[in-house]
Amino acid sequence: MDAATQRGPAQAEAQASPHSAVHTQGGLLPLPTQSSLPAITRDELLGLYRQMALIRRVEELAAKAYTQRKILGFCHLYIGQESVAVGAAVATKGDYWMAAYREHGHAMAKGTSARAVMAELYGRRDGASRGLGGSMHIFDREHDFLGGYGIVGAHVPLAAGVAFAAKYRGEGRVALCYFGDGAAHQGAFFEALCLAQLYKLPAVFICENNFYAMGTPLHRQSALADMSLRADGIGMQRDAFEGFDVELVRERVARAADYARAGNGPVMLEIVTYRHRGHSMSDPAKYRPAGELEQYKEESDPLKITLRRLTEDFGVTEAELEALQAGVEAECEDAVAFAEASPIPDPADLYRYTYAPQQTTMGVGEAAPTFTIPALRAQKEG
Amino acid sequence: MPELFKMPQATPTMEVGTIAKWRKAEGDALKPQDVVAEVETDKAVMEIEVFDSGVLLKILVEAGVEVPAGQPIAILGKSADEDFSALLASLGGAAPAAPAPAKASPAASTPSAAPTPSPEKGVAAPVARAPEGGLRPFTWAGEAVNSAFMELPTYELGLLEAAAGAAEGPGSGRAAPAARRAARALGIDLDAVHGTGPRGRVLRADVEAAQARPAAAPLPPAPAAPKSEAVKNSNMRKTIARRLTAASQEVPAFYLTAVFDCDALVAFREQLKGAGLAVSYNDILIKGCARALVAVPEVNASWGDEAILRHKAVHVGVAVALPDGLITPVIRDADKKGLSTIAGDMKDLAARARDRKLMPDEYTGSTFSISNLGMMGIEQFTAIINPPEAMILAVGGMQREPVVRADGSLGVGWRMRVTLTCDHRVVDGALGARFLAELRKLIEKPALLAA
Amino acid sequence: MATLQIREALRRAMVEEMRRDDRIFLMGEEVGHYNGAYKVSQGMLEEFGEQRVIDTPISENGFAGLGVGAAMVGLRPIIEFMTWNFSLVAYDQVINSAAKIYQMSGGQYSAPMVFRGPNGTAENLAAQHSTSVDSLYAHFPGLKVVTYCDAADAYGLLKAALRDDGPVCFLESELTYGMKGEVPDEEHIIPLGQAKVRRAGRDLSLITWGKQVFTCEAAAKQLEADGIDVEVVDLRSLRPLDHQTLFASVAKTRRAVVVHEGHLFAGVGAEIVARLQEALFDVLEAPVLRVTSRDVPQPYASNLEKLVNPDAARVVEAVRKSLGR
Repeated sequence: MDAATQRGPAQAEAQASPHSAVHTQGGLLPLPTQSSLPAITRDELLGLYRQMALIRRVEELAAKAYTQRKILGFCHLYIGQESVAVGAAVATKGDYWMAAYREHGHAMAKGTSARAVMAELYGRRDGASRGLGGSMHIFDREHDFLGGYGIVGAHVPLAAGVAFAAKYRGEGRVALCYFGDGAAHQGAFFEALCLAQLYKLPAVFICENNFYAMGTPLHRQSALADMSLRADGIGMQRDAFEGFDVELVRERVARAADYARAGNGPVMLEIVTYRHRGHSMSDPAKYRPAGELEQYKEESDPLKITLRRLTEDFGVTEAELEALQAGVEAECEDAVAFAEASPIPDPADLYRYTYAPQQTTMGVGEAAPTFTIPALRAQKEG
Repeated sequence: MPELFKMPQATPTMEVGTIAKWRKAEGDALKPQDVVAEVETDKAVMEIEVFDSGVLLKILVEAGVEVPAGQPIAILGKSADEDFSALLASLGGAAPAAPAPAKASPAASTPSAAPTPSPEKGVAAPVARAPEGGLRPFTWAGEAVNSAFMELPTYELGLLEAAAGAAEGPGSGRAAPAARRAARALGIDLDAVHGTGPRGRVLRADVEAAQARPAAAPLPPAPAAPKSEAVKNSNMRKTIARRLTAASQEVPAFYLTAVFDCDALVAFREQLKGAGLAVSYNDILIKGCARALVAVPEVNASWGDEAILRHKAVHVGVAVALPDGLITPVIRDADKKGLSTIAGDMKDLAARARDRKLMPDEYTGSTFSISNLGMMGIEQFTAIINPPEAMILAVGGMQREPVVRADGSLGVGWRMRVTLTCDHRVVDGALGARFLAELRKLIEKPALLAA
Repeated sequence: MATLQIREALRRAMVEEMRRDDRIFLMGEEVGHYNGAYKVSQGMLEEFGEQRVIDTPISENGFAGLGVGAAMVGLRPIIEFMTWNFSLVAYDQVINSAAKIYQMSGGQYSAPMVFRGPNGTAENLAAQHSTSVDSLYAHFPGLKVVTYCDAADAYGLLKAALRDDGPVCFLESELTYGMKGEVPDEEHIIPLGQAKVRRAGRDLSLITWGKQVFTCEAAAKQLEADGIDVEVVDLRSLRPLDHQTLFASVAKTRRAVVVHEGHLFAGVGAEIVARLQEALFDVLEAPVLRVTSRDVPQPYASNLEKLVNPDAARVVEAVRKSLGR
């Protein structure tokens, strides 16, 4: 039975009624065919490459420190997927981001320093989350990076809420939410998408499909290969593409962000990617078919793809690349040294972050923020 | 200004008092109505209070020492740092009284008993304790955590609350349940056990140590456990046990039984009833005893090591049964009260006794007691003296019996058997007999009572 | 002094706070066009519009999480659960997101918001609609858990919850929404964490909250006839817990019985008992007892349901047991 084409009686009835199958008037607007971004320049691409190289190197050093037991607990590395976060960041610099637990790279792509990430992994006072969050809970308010979540799929409703707030205040900002193919089976994910579409929230939901939910390959966890198709049942605009080329990610995410920012409602993206390492540091990833990893590393490594483009199309020299790599190396060494030197959290602070200190007054008759609240729905029904 | 706190005249007849226990320590803050000490008087252990806010600066008389009423026992001040040296000097060179060795309680003689810093040695003044009870927040790394949300704060008992907590218990009230149970099983008086736990809490080990100390006798072997149910002792039960055990062990008692001819009494009561006065036989007995006590004042007395105290007032206690014990409300000045007043008082006291609404001065201070089991079908019995009284009258039921009248004829008459228990230290046989004879006269010719 | 139903008092609190603070919005199932499943939000859509009184699909996990996200970036959502029973499908959001966000972000993000709705037993609603969630939420540091018994407290406490800078679980009662009570005309706010001694007494402290306050007051009245004088303490908030009032009461009476809805095993009463014995070991005259819903899922039949819920007779029995008379 083809689930996609099955129609229940309610659906048939709805079609017979004056309502269209999708409440949005006239159906969904198509995604733009061209983003608002200017054409990429040599320097910009070099910058994106550097950002990807930096993320990879930080992850490698994190793996090293993990084997030295300097980083503890769960540690999920982003190696192989760097192009997704880095490419998406271009058009969404001033927007809200939220990710799951494989988020070191997302935080850095959004602006968090290698120092803050490494110190957090070390559980130190100068870490992004003051050493309280660790690998899975990197937060950076300064860069509107809203974390790092460890319950698969559970942060997707939060992202809808952030988008809701952006819309409620008429900020013109978008909430980007990253999650994996595993999260696309969670109830929270579906509920969040339903709400986001119902309220036409400015959100971009990005499913980074790396084909493995922990050790379970996609075909054993889903009858659907393209996770973006989930959006169809919700009446949400969607897009799906391979995300190994950072330029492509840059452009396609920008289109989605433009669409959402314009008030057209959320977009779900499936970005196909591949992680080079196991689910976490404790996973040797023996479940992959022989040769698969090698093939992806050879043909689909984001760094290799961009490096080729830089040298072949933009004439970036070997010397330039060496200098860039040296800079990345130095930055990473600095990050590790910074983390090593950062003090462990003060035990006196153990209780400090359990309850936010009360700042709002309980005094009667005192004023509170007021502002103009735009209508939740662009067009009121009926 | 520091001031002297003197041994109060706690009861009308009190001449001397013994500090049974200081409930406050030097440096403790005081609030009005705080109990600072327990004082043993001729009648009872009284709680003595202060009525001003301030601080207990100095204890002048330690527990276990007897002092006349009116003698200074402590120095009070408004704040802990007041200089009371001048006041202390004004008391003369007399060193603060130390407990007489013979009277020292086990606790006081235990070397580890809480030491009080001695000012003579020039050590730091005792740190004044927080005057009020209340929360001490949970602290972490020296800082108070808002523990209303999370961890458990500690709670210091306020002085009033601490006193209340100790009021009903036998000792300080601070004894672990395991210790209470052990004390009960071993027959140890918790009052006499020195507590080594936090804040002086008596622990099970303390009870066991106390058991081992006086007599190294091994515990009797446990008998085969009978099928039985443990019924927890109420404080009243414990008080009864303690006081009556002490009485039966300490008081050399003897018993005098007499049979009263009650024909006139029955007629007398009928007459009162006819006049609309609801007076019980017991009420008449109260009045009779009171009058007999006045007539034989030597028996209205209490034993003291140094002197027998003859009480000037006649307060008659009447045992009232409660579901889990008994209490003895007191008809004060029973000799001066009319029958109907006694009847009214007794009705009220008995009712409130059953509701446990008696005030302490309504069940303490009696100089003689009556226990009447006549209405329970008891013909004759003996009662245990209620210290510090010298006598108790056990009253059996009135019944019709074949009697030989004074003229030698046989007939049927109302008879009642009473047994007087006497403390031989105070009352000799003849004296007791005199009292009974006086009582017999009044009961057999009740018209005299109306006189 | 106005006489208001509790639902009106709650509404007044929300309306007043929404008028003064644009960051507040109300979201939940049937809160808008239906005017609230229990009419708590009646008329609010009309005043505040669809922007701020927002009907949701039946997706507690989704809209509870949405609320957390909105709160993290500065709004102050009121998330209404039609009943707290349904919060269990959103439990993850309340616990793993709302309660923990401030700590796991190292103090960068918090979730100032109110989750509210009716809690506990109503009548004949059977197993799945009669849950008392008190202990489920009170267990977690990061959350505040507040409840009330009468209209004045409902109003004053909800006002405080709406101004709180962290997540508050506000537990209401379906059975008492229609109960009337005096609410002062002037605005007033009852700070969270202040228990209320509803009735002073000297023989024993009944520690309770929510509508069981009334059970305790009825028991107190019965006991009064027998000369037993009990104190009734309404905790009002389980977190923050007013240790001062709790301990002072029990230090005075030296005996306590904790009365609450929700099951005995690992209920909030267990926590209260533990705290009492830790803090007041030397003062207690008797073990602290508990009267709670019995340890079975709520049955439907009326006679069985009555057996399950705490009632005055069971409270009286526990008090007598504690006092030994």
